[in-house]
Amino acid sequence: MNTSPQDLINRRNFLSKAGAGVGSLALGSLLQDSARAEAVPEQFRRMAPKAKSVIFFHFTGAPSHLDLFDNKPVLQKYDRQLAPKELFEGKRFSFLRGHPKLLASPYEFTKHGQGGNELSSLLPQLGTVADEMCIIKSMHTTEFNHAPAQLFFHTGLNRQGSPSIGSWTTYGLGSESDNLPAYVVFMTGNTPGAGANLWKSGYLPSVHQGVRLRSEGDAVLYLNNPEGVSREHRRRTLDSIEALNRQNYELIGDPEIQTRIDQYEMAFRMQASVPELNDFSEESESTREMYGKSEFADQCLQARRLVERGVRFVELFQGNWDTHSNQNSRLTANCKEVDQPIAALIKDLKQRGLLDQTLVVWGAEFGRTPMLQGDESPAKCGRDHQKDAFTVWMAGGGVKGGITHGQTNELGNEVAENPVEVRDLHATILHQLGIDHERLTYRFQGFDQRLTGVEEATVLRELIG
Amino acid sequence: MNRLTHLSIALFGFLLLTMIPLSAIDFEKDVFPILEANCLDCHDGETLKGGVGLDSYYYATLPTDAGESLFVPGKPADSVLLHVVEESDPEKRMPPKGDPLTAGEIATLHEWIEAGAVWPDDGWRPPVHWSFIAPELPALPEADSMLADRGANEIDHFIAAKLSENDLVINPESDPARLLRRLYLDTIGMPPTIEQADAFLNDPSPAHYAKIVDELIASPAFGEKWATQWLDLARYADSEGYQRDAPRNMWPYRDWVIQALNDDMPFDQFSIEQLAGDLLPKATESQKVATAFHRNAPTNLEAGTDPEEDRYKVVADRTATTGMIWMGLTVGCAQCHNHKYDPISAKEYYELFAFFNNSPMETKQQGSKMGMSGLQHIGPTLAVTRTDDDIAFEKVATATYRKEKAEVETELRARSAKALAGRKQGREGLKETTLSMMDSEEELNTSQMKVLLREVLPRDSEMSVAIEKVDIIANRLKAIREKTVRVMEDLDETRPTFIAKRGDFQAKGEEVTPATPASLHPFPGDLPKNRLGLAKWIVDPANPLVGRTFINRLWIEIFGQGLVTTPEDFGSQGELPTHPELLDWMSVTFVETDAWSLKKSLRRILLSATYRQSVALNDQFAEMDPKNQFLWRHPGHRLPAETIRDQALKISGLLSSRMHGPHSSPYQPEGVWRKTAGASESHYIPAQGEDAYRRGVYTIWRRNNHYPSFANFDAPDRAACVIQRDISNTPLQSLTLLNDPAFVEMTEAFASRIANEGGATLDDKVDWAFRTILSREPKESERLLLHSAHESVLGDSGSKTLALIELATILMNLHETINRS
Repeated sequence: MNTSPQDLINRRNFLSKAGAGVGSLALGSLLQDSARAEAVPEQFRRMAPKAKSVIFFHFTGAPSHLDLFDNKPVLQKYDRQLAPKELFEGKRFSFLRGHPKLLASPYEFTKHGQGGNELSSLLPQLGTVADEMCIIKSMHTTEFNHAPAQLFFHTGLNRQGSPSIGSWTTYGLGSESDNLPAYVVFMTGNTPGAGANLWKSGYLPSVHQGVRLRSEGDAVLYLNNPEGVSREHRRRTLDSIEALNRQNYELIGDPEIQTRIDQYEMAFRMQASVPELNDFSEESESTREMYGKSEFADQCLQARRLVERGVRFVELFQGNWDTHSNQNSRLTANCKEVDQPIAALIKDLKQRGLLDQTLVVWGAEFGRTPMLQGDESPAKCGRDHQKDAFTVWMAGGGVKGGITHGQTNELGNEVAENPVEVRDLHATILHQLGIDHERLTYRFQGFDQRLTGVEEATVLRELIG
Repeated sequence: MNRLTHLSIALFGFLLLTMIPLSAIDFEKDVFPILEANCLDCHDGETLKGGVGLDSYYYATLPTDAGESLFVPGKPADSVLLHVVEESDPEKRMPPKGDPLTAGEIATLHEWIEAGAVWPDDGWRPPVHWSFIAPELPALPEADSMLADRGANEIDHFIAAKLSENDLVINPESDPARLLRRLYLDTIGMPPTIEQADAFLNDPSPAHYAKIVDELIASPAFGEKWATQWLDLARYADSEGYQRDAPRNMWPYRDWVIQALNDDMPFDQFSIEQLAGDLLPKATESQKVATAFHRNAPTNLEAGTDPEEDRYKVVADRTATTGMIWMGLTVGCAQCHNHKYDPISAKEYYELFAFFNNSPMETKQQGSKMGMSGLQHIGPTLAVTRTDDDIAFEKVATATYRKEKAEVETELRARSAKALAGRKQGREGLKETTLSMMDSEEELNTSQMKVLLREVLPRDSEMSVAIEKVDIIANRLKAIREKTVRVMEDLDETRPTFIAKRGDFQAKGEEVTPATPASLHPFPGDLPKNRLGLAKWIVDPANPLVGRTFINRLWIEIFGQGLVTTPEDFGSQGELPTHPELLDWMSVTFVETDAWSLKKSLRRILLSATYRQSVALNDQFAEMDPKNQFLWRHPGHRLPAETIRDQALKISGLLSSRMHGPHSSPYQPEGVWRKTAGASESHYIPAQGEDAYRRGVYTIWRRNNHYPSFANFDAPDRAACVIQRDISNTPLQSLTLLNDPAFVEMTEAFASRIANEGGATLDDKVDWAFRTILSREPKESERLLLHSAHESVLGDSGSKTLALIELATILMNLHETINRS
């Protein structure tokens, strides 16, 4: 053979074999060396997409809707008085036992903007973007413990093993980034109870699982070369690996080999693109100030940078909102941490013209009871888990701003008007991405499985602009 | 009962009906037209809304999705059919649209039910799905000419027949080196050494090949490799799952599986022992350990969980898992409603559920009141007899514990003394016991260390973590000493089982007793209606599914996809088998001729020409059969996560040969381990020494903190039964092989082996390294490339070590290295 090794290495183009593409096609879309601008594949599509990306916040532990979004004047009247029996009799709670008392919110509520969305004094900065917010006060769920409820909120099922909404999204839409994963996950504070199951791909191909960007150590696990290995050295090693893989491909012809070559290249690009995410030097001083300085603020800024780069689904798990006790100090601290960065994110997206194509979602696994848990003192009091009513909100991505959808009853323990199922929320998010939730299916265990499950789910058309 | 008796009973019934005219109502004339006009839009055999079909006897007499009977003969008041048409609330009334039934129509229905609700059997039944019909041994097809001189066996006859039918041809035999490596990886999960490869290359005869197959499947490493597939099915893990995800001791079960596979325990016995070993007469300890199979289901110990609800979930998991593994049926679908596609009603689901519903409570609230501290496990646990191996493990664990504890204690004492010296109030205000601990030289236990920390060094978080780690090591040592495993037991008094309406465990419907689905083979009358009876019914040779699902999984493990490509669903929504006759031939042979021997069936596959063919892809065939369903080539699919690690350990020379015992915690980076409030293992403590290099089957499996390189290579977290692993191809896999410190260490160790064992010249070294990992000789172009890569790093760095590491890194990262070739 006359070819020198260097020729082999340099020969970056080669004849691709007919019939190739079996393995690579089967892999779907994610993490592949191919930009897929064609947004919604025909089989899942119903209408033109409004949003291209989702930024999905999940506040771990479940914030009290009654202290942040859902103002209940009647509770003020009956503060620390025995709760009416229908609030607890025959119902199941995690911790409340006996005859609990009611607990009023100590925070003032103010109407904001032209739409008059009401928020508590814990969220002053969100007040400045209230006209972008579409608040749903009538969410309810079926689970009242964290892990099953988190799974339900992410996968539509209370057990492990089903894909999360982020995985469904990338399965449906693929990626628009050729050097970043399509589904990125951040976390601050407590790890959610259901752990990595919340961003796993379940029965979907595992390429659709979320990739966690970490704050300590390698941003993506094993991203960095071993000590002493430079980028140039790594390039050279990869060229040798590629040249040998290519020889193997020419002999065997298995398209999986070609995919493997592509994935080594993608890994190499990620080694540059992921650290670049965290390099804020090109961000203006005023932008940095707007977000503030904290791990969570940095993640919000990174979320914007990710959607700018075509990442499809960014999820941020934050905090420790499970306020069974010491609710007031913990809520104050938690809100202080998230209020400014999230408001900044919405403003920043808007300024850059990205808000229309980015759907921002504030979510949690459930809400909290109007009943007081534990010590009655303002410092120590808390609230238990509540599955029957809680608040989520969305902004951007083609949803109407400055509106509130649904109501709870006088005490905020049940939905009184326009109940919204988790599957309705899922269907609506997919709808904004241009996906018909009934068509987004995957064959598993003999069924065309879907995120919204077997029961009827409704797209919330009242919320869509 | 003979046919005559049958006939006379039927005749008697007929006479009874005709002789006593109970009512003037005629079903065909009076009743069916009402149903036809008002109900069939939503309730025919196609739409079946709510599980209600009114156009056939079969569906009309089946319970609804909610498990209720539509009509109860003679009891109009108990008949749902009447309830819904008489409903006063127009929102709930049937039919939902249009006029309600007239009073006359309702009266007709009423009278019909009163008179016995006679619905003549029209004889229609849903067509019986192929998998519900017991397999029979099909005739062997004539050997196609493509098999001439290929040493073909029965499997090949079937495969070649299909290939020929589809104008495809089997690939030529693989070259011996590639074939041998594939065989080693598929049987023992590790590649052959150069010596082993040479032995075969010197005599690649069929007889020698067969001899090697026999040696490999008799090797103890066989069980270690083959256990992983079963452990995926058994959802075996070392932690509870859910939020708390605390450690649990189940490893004696994992060792039971390895041993049973090595012993080639017949699959019927293998199944019975796992499902009901505790109920066997004079159950041995080993048979009880086997029942840990169903104790592997995840348990939610999160504070606030209702223990009864969790028990219910666990029983549902056992029911669904059993259905999926042994029958390939998605019985879990019938938990909330009749199965939409397969003949399993909600009632039958709960009858199956009832077999498992007799186990004791497994959790309880801790403390008396709020239970903020979470649930506690109280299920049946068995202390297992310890072996010499266990004692060896204990020795290592004890030494580690002593060493760690001594180091931490020394440091704690030093820091405490320093703190005391700097304390303004001196010894004042410190407890007498604390002071005496500091004054004495007597060894401290961990609770004493914690007292000292709290009193003297309240802000020393570093010390606090160090002591927590000693605690974890102490707990592990305790676990090794106790050697317990969770097992199954049944209550003396039967717990009643009810149909749960819409799957809600609190919405109790009709009570049911243990029974098996009517569409499957009959439950023998002499079997007890408990788990043991169920287990024996499952491995009854009359079961049409047990052999087929087994063979299909075997096929998946070897060829990457099943003969039925939906291994979790052999029901009507699953795919039809690509080779139905082969599947049946192998199933019947497995159950009858081979007496349930896994090794005999496996051996037959490994000896087949189908297995021995090359992986080369043929463009024309790839277009005709893109998924290679007809096996015109060996698929050459990727190795599983554990094998990728085991192979790297083997070639690097680091591999520990220790079998069995507690889990191993190989290195993983800081910050990956998850901290959960209340769980007792909040820090990851990487194993030291040999224990860090044990085979993948022993690696710690924490459900919510999966060992990262395994997760990246598609090993499931085992939160639920997984029949077939995904085979993905991602950049995270590239990053893992290139940069995971565990792989970097193995790569570097491989490099030093190349230096020491690879021979004198660079050419020798390249060849030695190449053959150690891939068994075959490198081609000249490959040799040249590796040579040049080595020389270039040597030239730049002047370091022979770095140059060999470069060589090792390239070889470790090749596609061929992590695939069957």
